[in-house]
Amino acid sequence: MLRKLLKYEFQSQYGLYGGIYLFMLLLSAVAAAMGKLCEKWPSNQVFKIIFVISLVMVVIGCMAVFVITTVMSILRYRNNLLKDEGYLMHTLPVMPASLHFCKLAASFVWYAADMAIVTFIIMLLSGDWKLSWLFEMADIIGCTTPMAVLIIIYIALSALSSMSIFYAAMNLGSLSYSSKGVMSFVAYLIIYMVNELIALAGLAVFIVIQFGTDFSAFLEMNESAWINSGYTMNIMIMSVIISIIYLVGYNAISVYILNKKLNLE
Amino acid sequence: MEWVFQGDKPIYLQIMEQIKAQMAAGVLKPGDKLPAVREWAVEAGVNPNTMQKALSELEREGLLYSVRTSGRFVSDNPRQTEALQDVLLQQYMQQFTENMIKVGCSPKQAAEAYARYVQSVFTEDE
Amino acid sequence: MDILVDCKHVKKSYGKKEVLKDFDLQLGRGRIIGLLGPNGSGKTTLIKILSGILSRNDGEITIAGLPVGIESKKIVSYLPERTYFSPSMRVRQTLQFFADFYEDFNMDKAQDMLSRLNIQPSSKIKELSKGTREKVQLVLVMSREAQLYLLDEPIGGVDPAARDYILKTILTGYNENASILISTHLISDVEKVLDEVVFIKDGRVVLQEAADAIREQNGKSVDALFREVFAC
Repeated sequence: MLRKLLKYEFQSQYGLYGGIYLFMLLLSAVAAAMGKLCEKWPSNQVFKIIFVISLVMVVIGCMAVFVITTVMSILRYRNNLLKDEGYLMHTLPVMPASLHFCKLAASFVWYAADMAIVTFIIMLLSGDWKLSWLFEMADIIGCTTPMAVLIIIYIALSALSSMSIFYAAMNLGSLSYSSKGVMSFVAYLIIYMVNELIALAGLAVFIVIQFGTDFSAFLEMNESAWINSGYTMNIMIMSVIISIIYLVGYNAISVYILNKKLNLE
Repeated sequence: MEWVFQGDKPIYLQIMEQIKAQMAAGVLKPGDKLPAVREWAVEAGVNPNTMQKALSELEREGLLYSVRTSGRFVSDNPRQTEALQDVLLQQYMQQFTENMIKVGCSPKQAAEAYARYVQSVFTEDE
Repeated sequence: MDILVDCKHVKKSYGKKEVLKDFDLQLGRGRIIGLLGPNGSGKTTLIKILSGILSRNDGEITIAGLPVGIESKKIVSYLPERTYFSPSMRVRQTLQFFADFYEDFNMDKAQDMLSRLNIQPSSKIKELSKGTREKVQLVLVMSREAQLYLLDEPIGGVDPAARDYILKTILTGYNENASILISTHLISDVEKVLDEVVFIKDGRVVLQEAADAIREQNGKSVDALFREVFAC
């Protein structure tokens, strides 16, 4: 069933993202071409101007694409599961959890695609197809391979958990009988504050584990001390754990509400 | 067949009446095969169960009979058709008389009015 | 008698507002039942609960012996008052959608009905008029071989010709194993096709009777009786 849901999910959304990616690729092709032209004719001001403008647009685009994906994923979830289309989706003989996780999985795929496109554009425009600048930077800051893997895992989990939080906020907001939209915002703010508390608690736990109750040692650490201490690894691990907690917790909230407290207008 | 239903009488009775009228008029002839219940119900715009009830009643009254795998047929009893006509005729004439009285016409005046009506309307036909 | 729908002591409130109060109802198979009541009486709420898109606060509900859930959704075909397809979907995609998710969907029947209505499979939902959209949804819902059909105001807001078509479609969809529950306040248009009638007032059943029995006992049409019972 999940597979069928995913099929329709992608069928519905591929036009939108396909268009965005195509536009960005065209823009970067233009920027790349302009770059080459600028190289060949360095005195030509027109080329320079077009190059700069297109480059700026590409950069903005690369940042905007993640924002767009977030916004579109939120709207898609709301329109398809919590508004009129919900009348269709929730009368299908599938578990509400399937409906929910289908959306989560799809948004993750779109984020991954965003990453892939942006990476490709960076490689195209920098001419650096091996991303050597990235590896150089990693060496400088002393980033080991396990750390890099952890960072990638953390980024992926963050994407998933932030989406899960948006979904949970909308589901909590939908419990209201009068103002679902407003309550969704309120729910999001509350969740945000709760997350801050959790993060704070996590930090406190980390400090106590690493430093015992001797806070002066913690306050005296400088940059190189941090890098050499291996504490960063533990902080990273702590962050991953917290992300997993968010994932489990907020998806549980969403699935519970969809199962037991469905309240379509 | 044109079906006309009033809201305030049981539909199944009205169905029975209208079928009887058709039989009396000879539109439904003895031995004719009737449409399937569901089909006929859709055509008449009524509930199939109601149609079924009406047909069962007519069967009980002997005006229809059913053959197991073939369907329902009009009873081939000519005298029955005449009797039907009589019954319906009485009913209609009673209604007509009652209506005429309502507009202040005595039965005698009503009969004269009807004769005039027949003459004016039917001279074109025959 | 085989009970298809069994509601016992069902309660539903929207916040402080009690919409269904101690609601009891049993429906048999092979019937076309009218759920009649004024706006706000709880008709739509009941139908939404039966179809599974609204949760109840209390009480028990079984449909063909099953609780409201995935199994019941397989045998219940629901037509809401609104357009529930994504506007950019094409008609043939909606057919495929139903075929993919419902085992009891009769594709041939649906395609046949749509072609007779001259509805192009390649049209997008948003391109169709409101009346045509409702017909498409009705065709899809009635092309499923379900055990319970829930039709919420199927003829509201459509022209008389469309109304006739919709009622005809409902009658052709009838089979002895299934029941069709029609919620409406346009009673005079619909009463001829009803076996049974349920009056809902203030979240409770106040009358459940065969339509012809009402006519016989009261010498009135169901519509006339309704106006009496619900006079303001």
